[in-house]
Amino acid sequence: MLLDEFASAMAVKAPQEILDQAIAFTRQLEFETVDVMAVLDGVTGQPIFRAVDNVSQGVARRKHDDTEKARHDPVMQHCKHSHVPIAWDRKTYEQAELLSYWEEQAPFGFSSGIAVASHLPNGRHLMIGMDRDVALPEDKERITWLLARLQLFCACALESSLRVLLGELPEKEASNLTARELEAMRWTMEGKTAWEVGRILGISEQTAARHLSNATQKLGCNNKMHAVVKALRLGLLR
Amino acid sequence: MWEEQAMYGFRTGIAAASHLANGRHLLIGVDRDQPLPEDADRITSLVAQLQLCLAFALESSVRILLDDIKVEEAPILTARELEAMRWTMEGKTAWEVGRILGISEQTAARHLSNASQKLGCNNKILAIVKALRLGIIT
Repeated sequence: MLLDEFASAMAVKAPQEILDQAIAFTRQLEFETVDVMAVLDGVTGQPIFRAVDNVSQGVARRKHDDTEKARHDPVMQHCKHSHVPIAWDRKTYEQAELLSYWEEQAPFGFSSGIAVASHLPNGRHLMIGMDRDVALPEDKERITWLLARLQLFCACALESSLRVLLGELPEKEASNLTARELEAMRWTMEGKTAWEVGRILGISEQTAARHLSNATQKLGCNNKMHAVVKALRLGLLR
Repeated sequence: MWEEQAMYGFRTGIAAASHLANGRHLLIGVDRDQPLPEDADRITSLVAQLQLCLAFALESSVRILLDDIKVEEAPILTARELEAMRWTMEGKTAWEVGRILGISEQTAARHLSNASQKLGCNNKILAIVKALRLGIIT
């Protein structure tokens, strides 16, 4: 029932498709550049970022590779924690006392923009930001309309984009856990010992321990604790 | 089912839900006894506005509506306990945690067992999983 661009955002199968959909949608809202970023909170401290954008190479701004800036950028900071979209311009940076950031990026077409992020359980996030080199509309109703469309687009794109962007993580592909290994992990997550897991699954303690150590190895982890946390992060366990 | 509800004014509607970490969800549904608009652009606008409303209502509504339920309060862990949990989550043993934090293995184990106890868990794995769910560690 929704307009086609929203329905097709739910069906993307490749990073290029995400970008194409996002660019088309961005133009409709009369913005120029778009940045779709998937984040997986890191097990070992550093989160994993996967992004597609149509920002020309060499234009540095609030990009995740410039971590020092990203840590202070008011738009990034908003998106990191908030569930609501933001419309930003010079004033946003002025209020954050980071006008120099804005002055640096504005000549490259990042004068104003709208951005939103969605945060899923198990440490996954999707952020979509659109920018342009002209001011935001004056009309509040028009801004609300833009933000509502962006919010809906993000909701539609959320699951498929995360699957596409984060599904390609080599560790997830390499892990390839068997059904038995996953079962053993699931009970371990509930606090069961290898002996208990064996009893529950009707196998010996040794076999249960072997499933767990195979799973741990496939996930590239040190021990079963580490493996359970990583499997949760990767969405292999819920 | 639809026939049963339609006579009470629930003929059509739009609904949206958001899912927070730590197992909380907010659903907003609006219904009426009129058909939905024909126009896809109009429907998209309605759903988009609802989605935006949901985003703004999310945190406050969950807080207010789930207030009377004893939502499990996240216990307050000390900085040391949190540090010990974080390293344990990364696969470090109590001995390793002790070395990293410059404390003895016993002290590291005590931090962990205190943290587990505060979380109402009887072992480390349960405690870590619960702390992740509650958003105490990320």
